[in-house]
Amino acid sequence: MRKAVFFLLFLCAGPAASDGDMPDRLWGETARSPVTRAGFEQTKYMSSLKRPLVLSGRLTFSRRDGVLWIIDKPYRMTYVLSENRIVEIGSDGTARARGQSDLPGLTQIGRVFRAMLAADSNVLKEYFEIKDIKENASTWEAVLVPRQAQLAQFISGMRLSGSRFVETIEIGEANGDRSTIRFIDTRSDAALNLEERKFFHGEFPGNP
Amino acid sequence: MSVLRWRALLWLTLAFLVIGCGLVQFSRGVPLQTDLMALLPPTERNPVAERVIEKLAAVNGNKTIFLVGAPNPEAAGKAARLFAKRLRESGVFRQIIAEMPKFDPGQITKTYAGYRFGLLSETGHSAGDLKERLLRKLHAPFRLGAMFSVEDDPFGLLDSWFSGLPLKDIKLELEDGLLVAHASGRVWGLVSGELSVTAYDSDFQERVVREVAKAENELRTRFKEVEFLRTGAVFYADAARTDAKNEMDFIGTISTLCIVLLIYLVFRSFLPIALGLLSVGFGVLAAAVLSISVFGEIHLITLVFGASLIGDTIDYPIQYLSARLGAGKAWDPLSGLRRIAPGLTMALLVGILGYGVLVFLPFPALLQIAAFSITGLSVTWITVLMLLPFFLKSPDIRGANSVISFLQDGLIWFQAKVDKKKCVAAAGILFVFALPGCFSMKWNDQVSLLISRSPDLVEQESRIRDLTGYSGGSQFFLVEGKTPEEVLINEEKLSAKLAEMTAQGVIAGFHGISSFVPSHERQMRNRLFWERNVFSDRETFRRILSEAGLHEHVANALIEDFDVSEDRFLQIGDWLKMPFSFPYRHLWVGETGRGFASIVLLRNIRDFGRLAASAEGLEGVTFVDKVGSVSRLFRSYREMGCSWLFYAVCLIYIVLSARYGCLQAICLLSPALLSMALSMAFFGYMGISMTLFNILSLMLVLCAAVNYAIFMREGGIKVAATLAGVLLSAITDLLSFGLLSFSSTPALSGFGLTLLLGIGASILLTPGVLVLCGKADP
Repeated sequence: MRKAVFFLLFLCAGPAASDGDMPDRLWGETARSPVTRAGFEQTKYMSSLKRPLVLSGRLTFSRRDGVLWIIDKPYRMTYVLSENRIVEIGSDGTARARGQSDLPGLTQIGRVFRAMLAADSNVLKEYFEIKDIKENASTWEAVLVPRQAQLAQFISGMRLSGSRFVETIEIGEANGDRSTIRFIDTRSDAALNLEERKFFHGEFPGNP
Repeated sequence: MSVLRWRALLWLTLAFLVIGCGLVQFSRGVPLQTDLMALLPPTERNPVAERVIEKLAAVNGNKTIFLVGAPNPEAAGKAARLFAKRLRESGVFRQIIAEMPKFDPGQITKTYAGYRFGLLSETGHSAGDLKERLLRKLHAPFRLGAMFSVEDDPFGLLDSWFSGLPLKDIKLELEDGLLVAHASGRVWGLVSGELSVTAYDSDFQERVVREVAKAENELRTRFKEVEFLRTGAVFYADAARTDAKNEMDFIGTISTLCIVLLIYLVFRSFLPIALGLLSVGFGVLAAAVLSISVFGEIHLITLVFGASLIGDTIDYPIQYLSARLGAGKAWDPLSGLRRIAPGLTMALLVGILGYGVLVFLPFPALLQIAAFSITGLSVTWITVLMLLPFFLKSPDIRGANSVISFLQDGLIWFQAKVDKKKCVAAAGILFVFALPGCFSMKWNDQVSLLISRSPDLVEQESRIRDLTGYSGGSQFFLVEGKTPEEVLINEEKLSAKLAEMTAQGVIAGFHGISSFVPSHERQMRNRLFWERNVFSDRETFRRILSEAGLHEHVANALIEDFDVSEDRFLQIGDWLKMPFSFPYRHLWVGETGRGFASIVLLRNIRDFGRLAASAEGLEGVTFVDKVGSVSRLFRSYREMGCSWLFYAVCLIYIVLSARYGCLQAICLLSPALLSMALSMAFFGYMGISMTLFNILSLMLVLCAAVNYAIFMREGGIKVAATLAGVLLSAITDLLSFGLLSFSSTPALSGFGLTLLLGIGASILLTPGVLVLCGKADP
């Protein structure tokens, strides 16, 4: 009955208890270093699309400020995801900010998204059961299955793999659509650069 | 047959009548009114508003909400399920809901998608470039809360409409089939129930509370650290009933015991006690029988007040018994009666005047108290006049005992030592002392005066609100119209204003049905937007979708759906049928007899004035604020009460002048006036706010103080027995009203305290009458 049920956000369910036997550690360095940068290529397989949609761009992950997700191709599109709001800058340069009040569950979505990029198993295991962990000397791979039926209605599972950093993320949606993100050239840094700081502080340079 | 016997037989007939009525009534069970809201008067000028308030109260009245808290989700889930099972087995609930039905997210999107061309948020009309919108939807790195698929909603217009729905205020989440809330390391599972009988049935209340306690206790032994929160009218009603019952027992028992003791001390015999109790008991019984037959029920507050009436009505038999004691051997029951009858009748008249004022107030509870008190007083008066002479034929030859003689000596000494000048001077000094206190008085007109809710339950309810985000409140907008469509149009105009108010921080948000179901007019306008901006140029539309990489069939399906959906509009009926509308269905009131109506609920109102002003002039919109209306009513009646008090003083003065002359009437009134001033001054100096109920009790102080003065003037102090009578009356009054000041209902305790102070002062001041009225003839 009482409401909420219907938010239908794909990650709005609350964190669950932790399994005792899960290693309390991070798979990558991302969550440890102040700033991580990478190039990405996201391929979306959707039933409504004639061919898979390939998006490429770069990503800045700041442990303090959030995530800056800049798509360069095929259209320039920027998403600035901070703790409790998201700013969308379209190809025409117009920015649209949305907060927790416009997007219920945004804080949690953001939390999971950041945990996913950083391969932060501590956060991920609150929402997912982590299965099939394969670990070699330098690489690792894990399959994540949602813990709750509600989450499972939107997402069927995730596969994460990497070495020092996360290298690929595969997200399978319940309706059959799926999406793969590959990260390339990942590097850590001590601080954000000027351009990135401007994004996080709400000054958006006009898109070319 | 003697006159005495005739009178006694007449009384017996009356007694049979009353007892007969009582037996018939009580055999059906005492219809006790435990609904606290029933104490409040109808306040709304708009009759529909009043009906909606009642309807909402009735709907909520049968609902109970529980939160079962545990340190982790597994325990919370198990505990909530077991708790629900036990409650279901108890048989006191028609329905207990813990497990949510399997929820198909596709269903809601499918339902709304069918009406998509009529649903557009305010910003949707300035949607900008469609191509841009499609790209944003496709490129988002993850789902930003968007719920409609690209096929259903390529431009995210439906997404943006949907995200504007007031769903997000609720903090509950669906986990593992249960609705849960997370807060400070604990998980709370929601269990809601619907009672099988009305919450205002006293026996049933007890059963519900017992069964819930049983279930809670069982769970506490099975689960560690399990916690429960509950709310519902049934719990409030039960707490109020238990409180009232305890108070009634307390006041009734103590005052009866004290009266027995006092009568024994003065009269030293069993017969006076029996006759006193009989007179009072019969008076109270008759009062209850009359109240039930007139009002069909008895309010809790009347019972508590009724218990204190014992001390008031005992005055009459005491007067007669005193006369007998005073007459000694010369006692003749009828001539004795003739001697005290004018005083008794005067006292009764003054009492009727005092309580009669309550009849003119629009509070149902006060009307009942007035009827109860007036009946109680009158019937006791009748008993004294009709029955007592029959039993008191023989004289009481023992004469006054030493307690009375001592007091009598004291008064004789007082009369000898104190002259008129000193008396007037003392009165003047007291007046001067009281005046600043009277002027520093503060007023309080809160509803909580009359409705005292159990603080523990209020605390639990506020925690439940914090945890769930569910907001209740007695303030809302009522929106009316001749047709459902007109209601929606009117509500949309209101919503636009309320959105401004939300942006300005006047309110935190609002819920209205027009957010879920736009008016037909608005859906037409939204459709027109699609028509003009999208489907007028179908080739461009196809091209945009195709360039973005979507299959041809996506565009074709949308075009086809647009063409066939020309007459398809979302209507209230459709929406009410959607399972998803369940938590919001109360927003639609439906037919009202003069059209249709809906309500708009508000969250966290920070500025009532601006909120009410924002809706002024809007057609069909009424701001309903029950709490505020009752407060305003309290204030206006408090002000009216003050002027009534003045008129009552004038009226009593006229009545007294007629019998005692203008000057003596002033002397008889002055102790009363002084007592009232002193008790008001007490409240002023103590910084306690006064209320309508203090004013009402001042009215009774006036009556009682005038009574004492009359008794004193009529009896003089030479007749020790009369003096004993006056003193006994005063003590019993003090006793019952003093006990009333312990009541947990602020209205009653304020009432009691004022009477205690006022009557206390008047007892001390009344001897002055002896001096001021000169040598009173015996």
